Amino acid sequence: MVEKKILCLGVCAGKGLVEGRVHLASDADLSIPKEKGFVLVCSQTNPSYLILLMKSSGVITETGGIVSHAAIISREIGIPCIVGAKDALSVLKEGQKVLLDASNGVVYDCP
Amino acid sequence: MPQMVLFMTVLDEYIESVRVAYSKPAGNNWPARGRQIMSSYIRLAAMKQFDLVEKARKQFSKKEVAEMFWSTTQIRYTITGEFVVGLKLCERDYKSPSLSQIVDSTEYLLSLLKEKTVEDSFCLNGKNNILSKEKVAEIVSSGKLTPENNSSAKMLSVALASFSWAYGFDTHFSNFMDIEGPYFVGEGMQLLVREFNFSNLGLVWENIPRVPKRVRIYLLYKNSDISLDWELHTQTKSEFDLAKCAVVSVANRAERLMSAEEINSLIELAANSTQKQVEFVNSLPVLDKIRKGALLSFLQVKGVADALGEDWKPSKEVEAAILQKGEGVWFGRNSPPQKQKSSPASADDWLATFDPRIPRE
Repeated sequence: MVEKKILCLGVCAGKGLVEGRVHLASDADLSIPKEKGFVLVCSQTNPSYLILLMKSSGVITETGGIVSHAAIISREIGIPCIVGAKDALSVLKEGQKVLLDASNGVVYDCP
Repeated sequence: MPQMVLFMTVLDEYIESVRVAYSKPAGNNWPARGRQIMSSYIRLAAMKQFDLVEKARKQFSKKEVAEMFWSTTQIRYTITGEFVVGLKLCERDYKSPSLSQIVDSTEYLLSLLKEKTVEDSFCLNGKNNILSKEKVAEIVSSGKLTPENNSSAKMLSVALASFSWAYGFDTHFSNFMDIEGPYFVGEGMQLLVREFNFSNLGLVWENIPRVPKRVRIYLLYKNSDISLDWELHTQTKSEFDLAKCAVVSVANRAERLMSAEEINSLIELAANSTQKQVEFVNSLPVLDKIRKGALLSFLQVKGVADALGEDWKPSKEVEAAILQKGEGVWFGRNSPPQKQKSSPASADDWLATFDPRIPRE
C-alpha cells in the first residue's frame, strides 16, 4: 500500500473524488485550458469565474466558506470542491496532477 | 397581553433567521462588501423605503402591498439590506422616524412575508414555500417535468444565478433571482423552483443581452435534504440528485417549455454576458459602482413606487450624498477587513445591527 502525499487541506463544500491536472486562475487570468478535466485552483471566485467553474472537474479555493460563490456553484453542478485551502496557490503548480478528495477536504499529490 | 407576546415572537424569529443565515462562512462579496457600496446612500434608501411602505400601507391591503414586491426574497433583502440599518442611522442622526415607528414598520414588512408564504416565512425550517400543496401537486403531475434536460437545467441554474449576481451585485441580486421551496412531494422527492426576473434589467444597465424577461426552472430532486435560509443559501448534507426538471419561459403568466437548443444557447449567452458584465463593473470608477448600487437598491421598492404613482429612482440628494462621501469608504474587494467591527461576531452584535428594537450605539 503506497501512502499518498498530502499537499493541502480545506473544508468540504461539494462532496466527491476526482483526479485531474491543476489549473491556476486569478481575476486577471481567467483563460480556459485546452485539456478537459482540470482542477480549478484560485484564491476565491466571483461570477466571472462561471465558465471556468462549469468546465472544471473539481475546485479548490484558498478562501471562502460553505456558502461562497464557488461552493454554491460546485454543489449545484455536482463537482467536488474544497474551500479555505490555505496556501493552495503557492503549494500547487500549474499542470500538476492531483487527487482531490473533497469529501474529506484533502488534496493529494498524484504523480 | 397576548398581542404583545406575538409581536415579540415575530421580531425574535426574524432576528434568529438573520443570525442563522449570516453566521455561515461565506467569501468576500462582489464587487465589494455591502457597507462599502451602500454607506453613501443607505439612510436615504431606507427613508424612501419607509415613506413608500407607510403610504402604501394606508392605501392598499396587506395582500396588495405584498404583491408589489416580486418575491419574498426581495422583501427579506430590503429589510436586512437597508431598511432596519438605514432607519436606525436616521433615527440617531435625524431624529426621524422614531425607534417605535421603525419597529412598527419593520413588523409590517415582516407581516408581508407571512402574506406571501404558505409556511415558514422566515426560513427557520429551511423553506421558502409560496405555492399551495395543490399547486405543487399539479406541477409535479403535469407531465412537463422530465429527465431529458437535467444536465442543462443544472448548468442553466448556475449560469442565470451568476448572471443575476453580476447584474444585481451580491447586495441586490434579489431584484432578479428567487428560489422557492423545497416542497416535499413524497417518496423522498423535493421540488425546488428557481425563478429569474429580468424585466427591470434595462432600468439599471445599458446594452443588456437579449435574455428572456422571465425564466422558471423546476427541479425535482430525489433523496436530497435541501434547505434554504433567509439569505437564500441552498444547503444539503446529501447530493443535489436531480430526477426530473422543466425549464420554462414565462410571459403574461403563461409558461412555455424551452427546448434543449434554447436552453443551451441561453446558458452560453448568460455565461458570456456574466463574464463581460463583471469585467465592465470592475472597470467602472468607484463612484459609478456606488451609483449603480444605489439604482439597484431603489429598484427593490419600484413596485411600491409604481403603485403610488411616484418616481422610484434615487433623488438628487442621493447623488449629492455619493459625491460628499466620495471614495473614503472604498477599500477594495481584496483588502483585509477593517479592524473595527468588520462583521457582527456575537449574538449581541447581530441584535445591535439588525434588531429594530435596539438603537445604534
